[in-house]
Amino acid sequence: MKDYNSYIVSCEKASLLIEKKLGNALNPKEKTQLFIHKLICSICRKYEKQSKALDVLLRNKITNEQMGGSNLMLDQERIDQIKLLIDNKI
Amino acid sequence: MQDASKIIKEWVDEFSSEMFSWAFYKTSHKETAEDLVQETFIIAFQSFDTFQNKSKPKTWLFSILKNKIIDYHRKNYKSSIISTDKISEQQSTFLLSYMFTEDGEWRKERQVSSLDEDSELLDDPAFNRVLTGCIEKLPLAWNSAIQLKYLEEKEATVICQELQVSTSNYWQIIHRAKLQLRECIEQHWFKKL
Repeated sequence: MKDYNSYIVSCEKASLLIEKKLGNALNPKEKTQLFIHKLICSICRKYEKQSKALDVLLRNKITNEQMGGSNLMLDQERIDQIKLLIDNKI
Repeated sequence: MQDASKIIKEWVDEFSSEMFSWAFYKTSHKETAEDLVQETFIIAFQSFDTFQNKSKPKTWLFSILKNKIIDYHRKNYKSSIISTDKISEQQSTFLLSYMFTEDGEWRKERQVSSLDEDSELLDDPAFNRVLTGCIEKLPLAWNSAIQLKYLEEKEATVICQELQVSTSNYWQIIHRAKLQLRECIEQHWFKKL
């Protein structure tokens, strides 16, 4: 007999599977585990939506080159050092 | 070569602070960011021949810098995985018992988060500062894993293969990092609105 219990997972495990799902990394058994879990758990269904939203935020944040006007300055000393290095490489 | 050094030095004046800012936000570490900017200009100087005016200097410099940043996070991630760093382990244990009961169910207080699809959140400088702070608070290996995930735009299996680390470990770290970020945003942003 098949061990049906191995298809029942906790919310902790389900939320890990959700991350793998968003990265297209679920194997068939994990897909079934997550499917069954989400049928009975509205919190994890919500977590999946929030995790997607967090993905969008993080992707935009991390790949964005503009820092929205909050530019830091590189020390003048370091700037001079870089220029000196370039001069000496000739 | 006289020409190259003159041009690169002009670029140093024009772009180095912007590059430094970017590198700083990506590494949360001042000296690292300075070193990465410096290395970028040296590479730019050495491979100046390959720069053709097809792309803008700024685009070219940022693409070199981006690769340097990815390298930095790869090294970080790999070395902390190999040495199984204690801080990550302690943080994991703490975080998981904070989020979940012993049976692995969500704790009541952790079930609700106000996070929603909202593309305008990042336009708010105050929210940006909160998110930067939350990313900086991640343990080093978690931060590096998150940076690699979004900077590399590669499948997890490819990232892990290249680094020769296990994928299950990678997913655990991504899982924990995102749980912590969601909670941090909830505490420092939504609860304070």
